Amino acid sequence: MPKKESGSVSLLVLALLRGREMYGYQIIEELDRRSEHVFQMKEGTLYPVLHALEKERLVSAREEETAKGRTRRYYAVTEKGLRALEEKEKEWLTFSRAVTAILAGA
Amino acid sequence: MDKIEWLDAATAKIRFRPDRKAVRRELEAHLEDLREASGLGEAAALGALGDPGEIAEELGRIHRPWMGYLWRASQLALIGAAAMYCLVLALLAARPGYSYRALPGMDLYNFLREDAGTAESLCGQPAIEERELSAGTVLKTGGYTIRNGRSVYRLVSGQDGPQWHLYIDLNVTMSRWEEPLDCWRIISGFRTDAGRVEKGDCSRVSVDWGFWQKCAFELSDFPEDAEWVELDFGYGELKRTLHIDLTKEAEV
Repeated sequence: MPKKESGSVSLLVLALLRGREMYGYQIIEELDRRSEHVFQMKEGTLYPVLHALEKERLVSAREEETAKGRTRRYYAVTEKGLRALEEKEKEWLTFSRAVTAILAGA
Repeated sequence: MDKIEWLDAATAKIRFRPDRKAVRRELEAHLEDLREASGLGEAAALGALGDPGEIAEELGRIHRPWMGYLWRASQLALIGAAAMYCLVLALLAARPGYSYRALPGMDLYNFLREDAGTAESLCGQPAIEERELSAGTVLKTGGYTIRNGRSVYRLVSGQDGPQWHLYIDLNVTMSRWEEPLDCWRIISGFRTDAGRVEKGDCSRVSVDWGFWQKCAFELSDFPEDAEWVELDFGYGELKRTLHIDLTKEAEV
């Protein structure tokens, strides 16, 4: 996965996990719903990003077994993750404003 | 490709087994969630999840095994060291005439029990007779408080017949962060009112435990009628002396 794409996915995942813990399937569904079907993330993209975020301690994870015997892994954003999210948001807004300004002037 | 094969392929590049099993459980739960929500059959759901080879590449890159192996290796090393220690203890203890006091690690045990050398002298000879003296003299110097924990006259058999040894132990506490004393080196001199005392005649053991330390030594061929012994700590202006009275026997 290219680094830039991975960075954007991290931003989206951290933003989704802000204030609420979720498991992988839930994250994909929530992203699809909130982006009005624009972002349809593949599992092959999500899990490596989630596991990398966990390794960097930006998210924490816990396992829970469902009534049907499935082991779900819930992810929650950490304090460090919240700080990283703030930074990424600032970068994104700067980038977004610059693109909008150029498009408006075209 | 069925579910088992897909999961095997998707986790094939994760070399550390516990990680591989955890990721496999997570992906399996994901697949079941997808099937339940979408109503897809197994083959279609697996198709929707994507190419397991690509997932395996990415997951393998994230889950590098060396940390896991290092953790496992440290656990095994610890268990191995404990097993070796037990084996050495068992072999030493099985030797005829071997005292448990000489076993590795027993110094600390003995000191904590406050009975170091009651049956044997630190020089290794059994005590024929013992005379426990009154102890408790305290010397404060710098950040150290040095207390005479025990003083014992001990009659042991030497090459030229029985001779008296004087066993002394010192409890050292450090009131602030100080280096543990090297008990032997820090004692710059022994003096007594009677006879000869040479530093080189002694055996000693030192155990340090955080801010607490214990030193024990034995002055061999010690004059039986001495009234006091003085231990000097340090040199020159920094020299401090611990005076130990040898005239009072301990109350039983």
